[in-house]
Amino acid sequence: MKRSTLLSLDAFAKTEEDVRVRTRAGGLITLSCILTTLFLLVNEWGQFNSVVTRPQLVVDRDRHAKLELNMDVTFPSMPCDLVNLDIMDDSGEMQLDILDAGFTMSRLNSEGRPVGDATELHVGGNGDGTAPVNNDPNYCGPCYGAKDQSQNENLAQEEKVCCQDCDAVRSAYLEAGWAFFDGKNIEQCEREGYVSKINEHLNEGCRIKGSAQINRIQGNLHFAPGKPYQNAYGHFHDTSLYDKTSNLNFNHIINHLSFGKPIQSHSKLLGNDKRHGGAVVATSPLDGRQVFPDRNTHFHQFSYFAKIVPTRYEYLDNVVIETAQFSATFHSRPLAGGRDKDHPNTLHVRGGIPGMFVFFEMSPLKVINKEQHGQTWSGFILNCITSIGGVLAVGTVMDKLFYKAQRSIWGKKSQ
Amino acid sequence: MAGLKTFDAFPKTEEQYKKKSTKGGLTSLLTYLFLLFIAWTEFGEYFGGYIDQQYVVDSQVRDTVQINMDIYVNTKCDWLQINVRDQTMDRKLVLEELQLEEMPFFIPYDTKVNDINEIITPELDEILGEAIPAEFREKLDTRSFFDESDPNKAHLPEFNGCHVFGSIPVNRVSGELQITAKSLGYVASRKAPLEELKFNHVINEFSFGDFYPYIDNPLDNTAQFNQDEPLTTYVYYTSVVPTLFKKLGAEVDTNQYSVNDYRYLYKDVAAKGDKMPGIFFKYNFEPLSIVVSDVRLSFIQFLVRLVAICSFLVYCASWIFTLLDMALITIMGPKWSLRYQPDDKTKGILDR
Repeated sequence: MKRSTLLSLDAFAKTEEDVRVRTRAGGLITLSCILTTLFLLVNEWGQFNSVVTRPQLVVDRDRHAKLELNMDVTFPSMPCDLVNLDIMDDSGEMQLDILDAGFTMSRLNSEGRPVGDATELHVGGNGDGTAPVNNDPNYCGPCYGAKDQSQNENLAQEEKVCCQDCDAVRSAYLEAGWAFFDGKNIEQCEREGYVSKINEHLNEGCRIKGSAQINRIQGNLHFAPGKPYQNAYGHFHDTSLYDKTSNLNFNHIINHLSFGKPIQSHSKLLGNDKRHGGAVVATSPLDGRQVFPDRNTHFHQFSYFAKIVPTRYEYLDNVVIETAQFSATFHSRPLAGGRDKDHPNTLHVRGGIPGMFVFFEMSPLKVINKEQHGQTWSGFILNCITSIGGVLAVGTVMDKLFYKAQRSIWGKKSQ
Repeated sequence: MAGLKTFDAFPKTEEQYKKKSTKGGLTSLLTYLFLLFIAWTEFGEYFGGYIDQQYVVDSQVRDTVQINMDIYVNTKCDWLQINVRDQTMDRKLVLEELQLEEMPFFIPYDTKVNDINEIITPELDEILGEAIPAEFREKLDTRSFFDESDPNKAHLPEFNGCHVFGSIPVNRVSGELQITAKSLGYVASRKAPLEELKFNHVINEFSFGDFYPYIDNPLDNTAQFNQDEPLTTYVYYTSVVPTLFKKLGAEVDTNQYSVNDYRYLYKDVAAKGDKMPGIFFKYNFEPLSIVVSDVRLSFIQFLVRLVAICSFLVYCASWIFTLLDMALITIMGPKWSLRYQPDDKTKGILDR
């Protein structure tokens, strides 16, 4: 190709240096352009490095998987010896009296300070084998009419119907549907020190902390007094001791309640709520909630209705956390039913168990919160070029204006 | 200070060395007009922003929500019984919180009969324009509008309907609003005669949350009418989605809902005894909320973008001008150049 042809194609025609004019104003504008460009480029770099979380909705396919339940609840007027936790769902599966597995209970004094753990005595528990037993090999403990022991005389020792310890008597009472109260005058319970211990603890509170697994279907979990039992009429608790001790109630503090893996477990997230658009809050909206109504709540039921939305957090470092968010509604009612001063036009249903209930149901939708860079590489480069080009264009216009202004005001040919 | 000159990255060319043409001027003018147009649209886009939709799980622990209703029922007020039953098993005596006015039952003009409105998500600006909060008026004695002592009673209307309206707080859990007759489903001191019951009805307003009468809902201005079978059970299944609209600091917290409707004839279900004649609104609250917000760029981003677009256009225009000029010179000769046409003023001394 001829050189002249190439020359004719040159769209970037240059002006000879000796006919070009340079000015101080032009120099100042150039410097300010460089500074502005640097500022904009740093800004772009910051934006490129910023992390945003983009939500996405999908149908939840993990319906078969279990969901973790994490909680930390304080009952200032409920001794650990009496409180029980049951989880039931619509499939018919029941996890009754599960505080002995996966939970730690701390006894609290009337000021709310810890006074020791509660493993040694728990009404729902099956004892830990430390209680003194009768050493007589032929001993057969009485069941006080709760079980038929009339045929014992004709039976061998191993076939006899016996209640060897306090827990066995309590279970027999429960099966018979009898009120057990505090085990007073029951030889086994007196011997084991159960009666004195339970009465000593009646003015204490309890903090329960731990986790359990629940099915991803509708159900409820509840803290209620006394040992649970099931019969043809439904699910009940032996509330006899609770009923006669009027200072007990289920006023509570929810220190933490969440479903799924705790989102706070991810190191990046601690103290970084902005990045997740408040999503941290929705994984545990009940945290810090204190319920202390200004009336007697001895025979009272507190209910939370939680709608759980399975959620996945996908981080830039390929860490994936499967958790759940939930929205909650609170409701409380006296067990006596009827109207109360808070709800004058509402007839509350009568009956039920005193306690704190959490009714949960699962959403079919799943939220995927995906971490992404604020910009792609190509977007970043394009924005950088745009910034540089824009600043140069403004600089050119400003320089022309200054130059023309100088010439027209001072009539200068050159500077 | 003289050293500053060396930094000048924008060296100028003396005027005497520049060539100008009328065609170049025209091109410049067109370019500037186009730039103005682009700048105008960019400003419009900046001030208008763009609509962003997010879905969040409501982190606020709520107790109650308000139901706003304005309904005409083709049954005398004396026989009506209105309750709310929900997941908590509470029974709310809604009749004590609503206003009931006797009225001659009619279906207003422009009401959809035996059909429901199309379910649409309203536009953000539409919502902000219509979100005027209101309260229901007090109950009126409608009979006092007519002179009942008038011997000519032929022109007096028959008060065969009941205007039920008001706002009621209900537990924010799944539940059902039941409009039935006395002694149907609940024990009552008086029993409503079945022959006097008709559950034909007109829904003027049915919404959840704060009462915004101008915002359209799927059941607003709809009617169900069955002349042959007055004892019909009408059931509406609604699913409520909380929706927050945000623009320029203004926030409107509303509740959209989707709805399905079913009807059962009393004669078909009377034997089973599980369906009472009446109007039933079943409601369920979704855990996900929609946040519709008006988002705009930051002013610096907007300025950079505007300048970049304008400078790019100027640059493109100069390139197009140069390339077109080169093409014309190459194909048709120098006299067709857009850039420079010699005239008497610009001719050199030797050319004259």
